[in-house]
Amino acid sequence: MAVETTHKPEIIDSEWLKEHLDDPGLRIVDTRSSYDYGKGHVRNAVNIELFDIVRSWGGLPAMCILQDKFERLMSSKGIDNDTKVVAYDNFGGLFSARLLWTLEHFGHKRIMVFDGSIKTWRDAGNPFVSTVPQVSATDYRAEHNEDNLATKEWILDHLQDQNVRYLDVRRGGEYSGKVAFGKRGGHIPGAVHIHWLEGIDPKTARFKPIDELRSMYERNGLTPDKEIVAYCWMGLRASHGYMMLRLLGYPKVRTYDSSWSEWGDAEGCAVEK
Amino acid sequence: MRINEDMDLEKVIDLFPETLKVLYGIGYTDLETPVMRHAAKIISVKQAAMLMGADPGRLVEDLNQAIMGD
Repeated sequence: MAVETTHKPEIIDSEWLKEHLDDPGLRIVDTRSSYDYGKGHVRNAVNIELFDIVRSWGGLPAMCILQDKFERLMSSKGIDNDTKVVAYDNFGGLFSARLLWTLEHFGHKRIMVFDGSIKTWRDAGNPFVSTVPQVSATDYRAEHNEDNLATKEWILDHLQDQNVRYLDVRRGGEYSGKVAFGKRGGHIPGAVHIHWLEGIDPKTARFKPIDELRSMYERNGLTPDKEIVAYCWMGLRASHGYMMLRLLGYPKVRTYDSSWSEWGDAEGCAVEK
Repeated sequence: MRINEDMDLEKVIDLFPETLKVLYGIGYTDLETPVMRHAAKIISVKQAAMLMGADPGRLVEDLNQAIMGD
């Protein structure tokens, strides 16, 4: 069983960000593509895009970056072990979520996520520049946190465990098996389905209110006392599910990094439709 | 063929690249890059609208206008 995580990431809004743009202990990270970053970003923000923090491995498309590469990446972006990392994107938090999961996987504890699309920040006339900030390199040291990672083997060992719940955040068709990426469609036996965008308010592109989110997960049996494994097809959307639960303070959450791209094709892995 | 809100965003872009200018207008400024094309695989037109706080019906209309040559 996972060790309970006592810290939790925080949600910040435009007002907070505006007041803390120049904080020395803070590193703002734009998790959109380098192309978009190059056209303008929040003042003092560095860029870490999705493909900076994933690697292809064993035929799987987007696995977690290796520890030494992660350390070099953090160091080059001026992030040290005590830096507060503020992540933003323009995609419902999808890319920020992957960075958040990766940071927690390597033991980073001070993480904040911008609530909403950064487009709203820009459109409101807040500082949005093309100047890349000069940062001093650090000596970042990562520590593997296996407690936020689920593997196929771990899931096979815990399929009957009543303290573990599985959260499928893919589209309904992928969950039901109507749409199959890979050899088989369907879901991990017993998994509940909550699409990753269910946590976003369609009118504002911001997170839904905390109470509403908590209620959505709890009525599906995903309560904080359980250990919850989020999965999708390749681990990206799963990281969003992971992030939402962590923002709510859930202490024991894992992302199945290989997700359905492995489970759907693997012999000996049961599938439910 | 008409675009509807349940179509995959990636499919819309592949079939009708002229829709990129509409998507650009609601905030998708980098859909030609690998990261965003990857992300476009996993959302529908409706979801693309909601991620930017745009009205899905209006977006569908604008996309269809774009492919009609207006």
